[in-house]
Amino acid sequence: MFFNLTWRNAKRSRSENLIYFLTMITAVAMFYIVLSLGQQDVIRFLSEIESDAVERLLTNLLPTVYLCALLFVFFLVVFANKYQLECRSRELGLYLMFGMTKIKLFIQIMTEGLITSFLALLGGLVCGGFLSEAISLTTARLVGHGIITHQLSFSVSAAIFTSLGFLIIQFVALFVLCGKLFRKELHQLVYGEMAKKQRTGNPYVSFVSFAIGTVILLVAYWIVVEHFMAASGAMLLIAVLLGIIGTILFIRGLARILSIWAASIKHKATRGLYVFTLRQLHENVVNKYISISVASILMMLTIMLITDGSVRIMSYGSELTRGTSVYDFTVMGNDQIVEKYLSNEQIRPYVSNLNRMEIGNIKSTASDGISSPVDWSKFRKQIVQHLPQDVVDPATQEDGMYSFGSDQPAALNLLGLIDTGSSSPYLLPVSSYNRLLDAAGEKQISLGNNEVVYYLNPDFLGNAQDETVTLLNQIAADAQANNEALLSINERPFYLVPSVPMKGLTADENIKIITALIVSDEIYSEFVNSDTCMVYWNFCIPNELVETKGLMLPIMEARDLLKPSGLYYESYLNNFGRQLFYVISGSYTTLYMGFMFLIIACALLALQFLTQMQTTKSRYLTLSILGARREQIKRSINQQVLWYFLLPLILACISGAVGIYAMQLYLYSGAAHLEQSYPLLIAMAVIVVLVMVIYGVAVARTANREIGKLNYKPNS
Amino acid sequence: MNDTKKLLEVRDLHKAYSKEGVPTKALNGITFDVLNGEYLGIMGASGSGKTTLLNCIATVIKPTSGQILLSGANISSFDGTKLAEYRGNKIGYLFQDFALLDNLTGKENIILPLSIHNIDIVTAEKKLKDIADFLGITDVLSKFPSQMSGGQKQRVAAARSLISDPDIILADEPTGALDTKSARLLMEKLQEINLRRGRTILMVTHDPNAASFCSRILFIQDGVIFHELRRKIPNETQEDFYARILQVMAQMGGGSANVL
Repeated sequence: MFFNLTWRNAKRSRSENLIYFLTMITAVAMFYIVLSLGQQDVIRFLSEIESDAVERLLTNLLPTVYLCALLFVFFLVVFANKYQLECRSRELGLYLMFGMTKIKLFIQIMTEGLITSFLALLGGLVCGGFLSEAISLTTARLVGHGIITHQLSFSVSAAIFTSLGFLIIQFVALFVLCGKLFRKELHQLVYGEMAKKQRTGNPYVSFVSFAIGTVILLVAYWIVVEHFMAASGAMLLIAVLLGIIGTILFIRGLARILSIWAASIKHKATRGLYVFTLRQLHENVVNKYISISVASILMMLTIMLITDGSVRIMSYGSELTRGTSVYDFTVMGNDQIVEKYLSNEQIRPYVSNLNRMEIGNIKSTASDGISSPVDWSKFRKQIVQHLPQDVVDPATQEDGMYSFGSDQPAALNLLGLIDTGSSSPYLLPVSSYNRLLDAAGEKQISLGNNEVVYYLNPDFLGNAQDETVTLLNQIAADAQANNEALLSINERPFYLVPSVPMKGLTADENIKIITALIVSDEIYSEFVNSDTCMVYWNFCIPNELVETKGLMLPIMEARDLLKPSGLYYESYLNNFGRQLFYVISGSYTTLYMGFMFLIIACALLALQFLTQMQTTKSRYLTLSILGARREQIKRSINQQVLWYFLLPLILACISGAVGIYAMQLYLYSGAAHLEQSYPLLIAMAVIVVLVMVIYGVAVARTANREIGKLNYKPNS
Repeated sequence: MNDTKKLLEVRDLHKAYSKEGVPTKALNGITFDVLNGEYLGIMGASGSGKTTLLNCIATVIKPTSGQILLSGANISSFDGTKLAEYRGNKIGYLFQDFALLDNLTGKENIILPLSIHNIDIVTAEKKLKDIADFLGITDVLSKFPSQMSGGQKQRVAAARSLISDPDIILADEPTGALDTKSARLLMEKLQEINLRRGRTILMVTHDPNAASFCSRILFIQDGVIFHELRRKIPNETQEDFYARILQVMAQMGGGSANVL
């Protein structure tokens, strides 16, 4: 009997309260996704090459995110259960009136909760597993560059922890709510709350709130855009606080605007349920402005976090392409040992285009040992001529600050490179560089003893590289045409050679040689300071091997062979892995938080709307008796739901846009980043809108069904 | 008032509720007419079926059998748009608990029936002014129901039931939630609406005081008409009529408690 009743009640709760069940399923799916992160293709791949960092991510960051999610979902579950119990307050009151003990009623509610939880767990784990696979596959495709393979996986431990976490919060939530419920008078339960006095909000307070809210929001926007990092982040904190206060005051003041709107638009005043719809919204805003503001702030965070996550994945993901890097391995150590080791039987099949690259600083010939033997002045003069008219040469300024990026003129980048690295530049023998060009499939160059190539590391300037190299080539070509030597080393003139392809010197990106002078081997040995010489042994995996086995496997095999040598080595994959790790750990967390906030905001709005609906449903009965048609009422409800979601969303979009603008201005290096991410951003926007639409439709459907169930009860 | 044309005809009306297979007869074959311009009261003990009768006429519930004809049209056969049209334009409904929407102002509440039928604002405001002046509620038009007294609320509700110029006003215990003074004021206004404006009113009540304002009273018991009282106009005073009502109620065994 007891079980039958609880089973039937649980079933009814599910079908009557779709939102509640949907929210539970989402909560479970959210837990599973974060807990099964270790099983994702990208993370599995990373843990093989960057095991320490991945370990740190899985043991430090993830539990924090999990706890955070647990806390948020706890509030969501409390909210959903509160609504559910409020709907059933009369029924529960009747059980008590018929003599059911509180403890038995508590057990019944708990059992019902348990049944619903188990079904939600089942649905949530299926959804979570599916979503997790989809995320895994998508990221593997987006950033994996064919190196990462997809593997189906289901994390049992994640499922267990998900179930545990979810059941615990469900239990605690019901415990807290039942305690509250049982403290109420029986009369309150059976006959509902005393009718609350209609709060319309003091018009003057509302208006002042609206005005102050708008001003505070504008100030917050101004601070974010103009003084993002000022006072070491303190200004940002102030902007966030002002943003929160401004949002709450603004939304609260909106009630006044809606009220004025309802009263002032005369020609529409008698158009169907127009005024009624506006008044319903007005009332909702007056009563629930805190929740609506919180939802608005969460939506804004969603917009910013999802944008940030997408931008990270897309822009850094594209930087992960091989681009300019030629070599798969760089080995360092004693020349003889390395040479011997690399030519042994086992490893030889993995080595092609072996290049011993020696790089050293130029030696100073001046007596003070400080002043540069290279005279850059003519070269600089040429570059300064290419500066736009409104830009001054930084060297003429007192502070002499340099920055690099695609948002400033190429000439400025070039000046910065020369001025910061000119005192004792790196020298690179042309024979080494020719071997590199050969490995990259480029034409080799020959340099005379009075010729020099100004080398720019293509990874340093990023987006600005193309423009800067073009300018460099132009200046060099002009000088060549005029037979002008732009550089001199120890008073000897050197001619710049244009149009030499710039390639990454090693497989190890940690070796940051930003600029160098490529000179003939003879000049190299004459000018290099032998104390500063570094030797890098670079090689590629042979093409035949890549064609048959792919890139990943041979690199791993070669790495295993190199491991016992004790030599310092770095592979392209390590670099790739390290960068990928930054991308993934950053973007995963932001995207996850973004979607979590979205779901919470939607569920919050949905449940608030339905609670309000529950308390005011007799109004729809009156409307119906006054002659309102079913479709009119339905349309009014749909419009209420639409605007109830749109009001916070519109403000969130404005604040989010300002936030994204500021992030682009201060956090990303160039506009190209955002543009590159458009396809993913559009896809994300579609998903966000879809989630909101699903919630909106579910709310409207539940509300309409509630109205449909209304039976006329005279004078009750 | 002297127009004796039948406005409402109720013919052999039955209504049976069936709860879990146990049938209960609320109306058991009621037949009566309401003439144009009449002020008809329906009295009876709790559970006698008077509110069920009113709700059948208001189309809020469907009768099991029988006919209700308004100006010759069978309202039981109405559906969808025609039903909404009937509810909005042909009848005005006055509830015991006022049933004002507490998030709309007085004015918005009153013109709601017109809004539902998309009547233009100029016509609506003209009518509103006229009715608000008549009922003395001009100063509460911009207030919300929570800022009004019970009497003001019921007069706003009365204004709402009048605004669409209905053929008949159905009042369900309109004085039930009012104090004596407000109740008297409301009944006087209803009488004025009936006498001066020629509106037909059908009022359910168990308050003999309120009933004494009617021109005719039907007493219902166990779902059938048990007795009928007619006020002898113009000779009979309201007090005399009141005394006769009390007499019938005594015969029926008390007005408010079903002691039979």
